[in-house]
Amino acid sequence: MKTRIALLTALAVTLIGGNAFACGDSLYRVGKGVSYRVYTAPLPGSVLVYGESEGAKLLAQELSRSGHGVRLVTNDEELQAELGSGAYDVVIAAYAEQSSILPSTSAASGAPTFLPVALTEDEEKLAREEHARVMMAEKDEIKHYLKAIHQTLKQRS
Amino acid sequence: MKRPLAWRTFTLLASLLLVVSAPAQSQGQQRGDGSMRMEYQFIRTGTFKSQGLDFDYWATDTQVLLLSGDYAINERFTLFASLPYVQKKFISKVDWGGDPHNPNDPYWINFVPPDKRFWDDGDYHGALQDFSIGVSYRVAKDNWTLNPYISYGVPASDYPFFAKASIGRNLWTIPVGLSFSFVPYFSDWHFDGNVAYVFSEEPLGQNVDYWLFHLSAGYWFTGNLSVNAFLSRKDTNGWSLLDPDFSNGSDPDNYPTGWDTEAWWHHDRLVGSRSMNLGVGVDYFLSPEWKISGSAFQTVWADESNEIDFAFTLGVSRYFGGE
Repeated sequence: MKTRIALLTALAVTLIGGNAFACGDSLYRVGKGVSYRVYTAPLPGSVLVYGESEGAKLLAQELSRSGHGVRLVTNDEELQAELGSGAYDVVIAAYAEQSSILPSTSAASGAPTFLPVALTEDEEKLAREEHARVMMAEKDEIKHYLKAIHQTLKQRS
Repeated sequence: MKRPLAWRTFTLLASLLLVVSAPAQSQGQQRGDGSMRMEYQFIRTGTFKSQGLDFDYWATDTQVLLLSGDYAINERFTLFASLPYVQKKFISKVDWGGDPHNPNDPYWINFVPPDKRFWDDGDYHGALQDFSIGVSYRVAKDNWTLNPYISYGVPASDYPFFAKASIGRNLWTIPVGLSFSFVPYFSDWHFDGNVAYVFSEEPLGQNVDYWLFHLSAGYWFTGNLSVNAFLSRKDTNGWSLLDPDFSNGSDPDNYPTGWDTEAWWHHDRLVGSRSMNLGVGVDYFLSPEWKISGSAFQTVWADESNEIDFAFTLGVSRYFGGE
């Protein structure tokens, strides 16, 4: 909140001052400041994140900040309840948890798409045989998650 | 029945901390959002360029302390203002003195300057320069943000304008411009620009309005560290320094005798300076509230203008949250 207008305001005052010198002309402002990097989701969707760690919480926060509607669940009961609601486009969870998720994501049309997170390269290979998009826990940054979600949403629309 | 989670996976997701270290924030702006910024700038100028000729016998050093701020009235409108204190000194690069502009020189006969202050004595002279206040309007669409704006700049003190160490033209201005920002989706690049037409008070009835352009490309190495390169351009209506009207049509080589005209007295206001500067900048957020910035730049092309040999800016910004 506190930095959201950093980008805007700096832009506006960038060129108030002159930026060239005659004999007695003085420059006092060039360039501009920028804000914190904030990724934007061009197609906001509903995302369910399954995990209990700080990393899962952070992922949920960042996805929410980018414009997605996000729900974080931390146990299987909550997961099943949310999956049953039919309110989500994408479910993000560890690949090892797919036995809890696939029954709900591969059923009727309109069911959420599972976006697995692989822990190892072996796990990634296995996951890629079954899923169109796979995230790597140690490699992928938030922008990669956003891109994968965006591609999924486009495919579903 | 509760099943075990592959917690390790999400623990590793904690590495996201390294790449998404931005503070909690949403996009857009809200009433009460604002910032204050204090900047220091140093500028060394050198050669004066005019119609392909180089006048390379003096330099100037300028130090600027700029206080600026902004305040969001609502989701669309933002007020902004700035006030610089500028001090500058004339430096001769030659034995014969480098032609300091002195309103007390004996050649002033046909026109006698009403302001006798002599600032080209080699010492720093300073004053509050031009206070600016303006308003911008925010339009955001997809990954574009546009900010048309208008502002008003007025000299905050009656500083002299006949001096190579003059800190400005002592004219009011009304910049009307558009700034824009483009951030590609899922990218760490960001691109910004600004174009403005600056209406200016007319000295001796001469139109000295000017265009300003600014383009920059930046890259976020982390969520709170961005580095950018920028190009800025100024294009002013006005005379050449070699215009015969400055010497009232007499032989311009007969300098300074014959140049005792009111136009020459105003020449720094009348000359149509044009230049292009190239630079790099860095912005680093220490916290959601505090940011430090720096930039360095120099002139890559100039006409009717002094080249900037070297300039740098250091700044600190404080951000305030709104409702």
